[in-house]
Amino acid sequence: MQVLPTGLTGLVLLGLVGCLSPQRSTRGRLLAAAGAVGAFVVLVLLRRLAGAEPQEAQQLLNGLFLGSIFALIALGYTMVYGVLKLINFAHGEVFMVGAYVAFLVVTVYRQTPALAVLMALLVAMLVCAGLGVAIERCAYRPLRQAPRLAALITAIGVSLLLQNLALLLLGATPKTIPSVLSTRPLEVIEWHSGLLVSRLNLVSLGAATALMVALQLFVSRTRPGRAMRAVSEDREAAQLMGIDVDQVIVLTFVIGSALAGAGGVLWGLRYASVAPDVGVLPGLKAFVAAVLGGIGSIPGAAVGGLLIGLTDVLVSAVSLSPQMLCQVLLTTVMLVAFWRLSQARLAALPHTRQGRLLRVVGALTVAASCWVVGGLAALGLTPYLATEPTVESLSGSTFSDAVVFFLLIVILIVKPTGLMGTYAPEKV
Amino acid sequence: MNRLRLPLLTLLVSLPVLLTGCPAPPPPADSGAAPTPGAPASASTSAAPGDAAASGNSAGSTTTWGPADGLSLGGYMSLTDSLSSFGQSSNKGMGLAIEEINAKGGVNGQQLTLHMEDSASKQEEAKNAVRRLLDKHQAKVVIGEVASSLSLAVAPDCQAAKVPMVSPSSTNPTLTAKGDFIFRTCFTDDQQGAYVAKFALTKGWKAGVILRDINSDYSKGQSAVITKRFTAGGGKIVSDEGYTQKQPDFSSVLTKVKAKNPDVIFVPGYYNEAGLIIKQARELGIKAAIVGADGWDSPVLKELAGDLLNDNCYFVNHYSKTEDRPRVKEFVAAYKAKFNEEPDALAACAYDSIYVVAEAIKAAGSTEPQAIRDALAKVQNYDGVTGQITIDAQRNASKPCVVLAFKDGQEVIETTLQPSDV
Repeated sequence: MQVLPTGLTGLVLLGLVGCLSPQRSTRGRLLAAAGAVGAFVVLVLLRRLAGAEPQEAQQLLNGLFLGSIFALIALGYTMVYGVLKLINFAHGEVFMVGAYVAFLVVTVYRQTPALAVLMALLVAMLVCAGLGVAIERCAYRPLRQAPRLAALITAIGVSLLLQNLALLLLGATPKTIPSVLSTRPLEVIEWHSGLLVSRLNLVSLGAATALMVALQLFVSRTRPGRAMRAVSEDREAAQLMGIDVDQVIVLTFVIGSALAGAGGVLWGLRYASVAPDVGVLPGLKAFVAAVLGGIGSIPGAAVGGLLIGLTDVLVSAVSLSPQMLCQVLLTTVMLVAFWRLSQARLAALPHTRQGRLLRVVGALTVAASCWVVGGLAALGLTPYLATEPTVESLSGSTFSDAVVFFLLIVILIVKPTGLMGTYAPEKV
Repeated sequence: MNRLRLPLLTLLVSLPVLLTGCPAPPPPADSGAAPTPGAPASASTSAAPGDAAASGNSAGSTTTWGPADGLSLGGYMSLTDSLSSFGQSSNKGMGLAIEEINAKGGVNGQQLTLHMEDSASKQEEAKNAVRRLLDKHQAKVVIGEVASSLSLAVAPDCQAAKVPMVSPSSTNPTLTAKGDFIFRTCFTDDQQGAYVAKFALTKGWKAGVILRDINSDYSKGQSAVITKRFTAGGGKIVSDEGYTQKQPDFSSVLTKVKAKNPDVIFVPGYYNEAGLIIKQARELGIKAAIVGADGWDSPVLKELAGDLLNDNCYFVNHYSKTEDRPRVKEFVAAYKAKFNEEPDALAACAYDSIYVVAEAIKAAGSTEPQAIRDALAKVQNYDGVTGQITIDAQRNASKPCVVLAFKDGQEVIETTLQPSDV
């Protein structure tokens, strides 16, 4: 009973990644999307027919809503990295400013909900775009020729500066945003499927999707977008071709920061509470998302954001015994180590049907044996695992953050370029 | 462009300096001029100190209550950041007590001075604050914190310096076990958790879920006690879930909880997260009762949860401002007159703690920390706002509690529980 929903949940995830992957053909992507939707519908029906609430499907939706915000923030990280090769650690603070703008605007326009949301998005995107440009002009441009480490440290400095400025100007006490969009579940959807989706969720997902599609179109179809891609590919060559690199970089900051601002507004509307450090954790998670998707890749950031949101939520939804958790951890570590050690030999296997079969069988054998060894080790460790005597199983909600950041380490070891990044050798 | 860059950069860099350089409104500066004796809470003392502090703009600021040269007491509270609601209330409660005592002539003929430092809701800041109290202000007694994690962080420092530390409202049981100089004037989580479990059991709730803050000693300690007592009384914990401070999203954990169909959800945490949990749980259609403890006591809870609070939410607390005891009525009137707002339980606990310390100093007849410590250990039946305070052999106070519900956004007393009930 538990295997089927888990498998279906996995299928939905795979389909989601597949349909957003730029490496596939349009037909392949449509198929993957259809697969994801199909698996999702089966997942809902499975529970509904058994007379229960479709909790797995609900959790997938929860993850999707959360992930769409992470995706918006991750886009800013990835775009700036693309053109400047700089991790803009001040990005989370731009997000925070967006949330504060939401607080101010919504408080002013609280009588007219639709206008309040639109105005908040618009004003926050404008303010954050301006802030992004100011940061670039004051902090990063003077360091354009400096070693990359200097720029990175400056980014951390800007992040702390903005956080402390907010602390001084707005105070540490969290501000409560008046609720203008109902967070109550829509009855129509609940009645038909048992899924709980609020108007706010729909608006938030819709806004995030619209912004991401617009960005993708902008980058792939317009002249400035092409210039941006050119700069990210090779800055000097682009300059030689007559592209104003400074202008492109400013444009990147404008777009990236505006998206973070929009993310901040959606976050603020959803959770109703803003404090100066509101950007720290979402910022870090979005950074993990950008790396997971392949830093520098725009579709990668979208996929990474969704996957991090889903991971966060799905991990919270499971319960594991401490031994099981230990086993999972040990197995992951062993698999990662094995991957590192045998990577070259695996790549050397011939790209024939036989070679592929060998790889699949080999991988399964290794995974199974790691699982068994991990299990035995966990059993041995049991007396040393710290648990409270009353707790039989650990809820995933107690370690979901840890899993997200553990994922960063695994990605960096196994596939440092991320899911959709391309390998770019350091130019000498 | 280049000419513009330098001034811009200078401005950006100097902005925080300029801002901090501004003289922060010194909150109780005017309170040094003691109000007329007998009417300690004269309305002439404006509400400005409270407002200035409540705006929370004074990050890392300090405050002094009483004359500059009185007997030095040290307070540390989270005047800023996520637990600032607790810190601000406690600060006001303590300030009121100091002014009342000074107006009546002080202790043993000496005026009291309370140096209040900001522990900013963080353990490292709490340590810094207490260092300043011990080294710079030479405090004879240190009073603070609300959050158990913060009290626990600095208890070893006070113990090592052999300066008595009195926590007005940290309930984690391990606190006073840190040493013989560590006291508290409130009940422990052993007692509070027992009250929570007892209340749930008397309501007939059987299936419970615990949602705890995994980084808070307060929340973890209380969860353990609730689990033990609730299970012993015939209840069953069907799910034990965790969250972290400042986590905004509970949808996944609540979706999971909903599927377990509990009668009651225990949220032994602080108001920010409790408010969000109540809001998100009700929006997900969870009808179960939601029960918490003194960590909920803040107006922020009402801001976050709104009308949803009226519906089957309860919390155990030290006292209620609507209680019908003369001591409570006097305190509420004096507090309202001074700060123009209703005192919450943390203000009351903080107020009591200052009076207990003053009693001890009076009894000791000395200002030596060692003598004050010995006197504190002997405090018997002090009639406080939050009930009779007797310091027991473990340096804790055993006290009754009130269980509060909400009606039209106002706290109402659901029931009262005595130590003998659990």
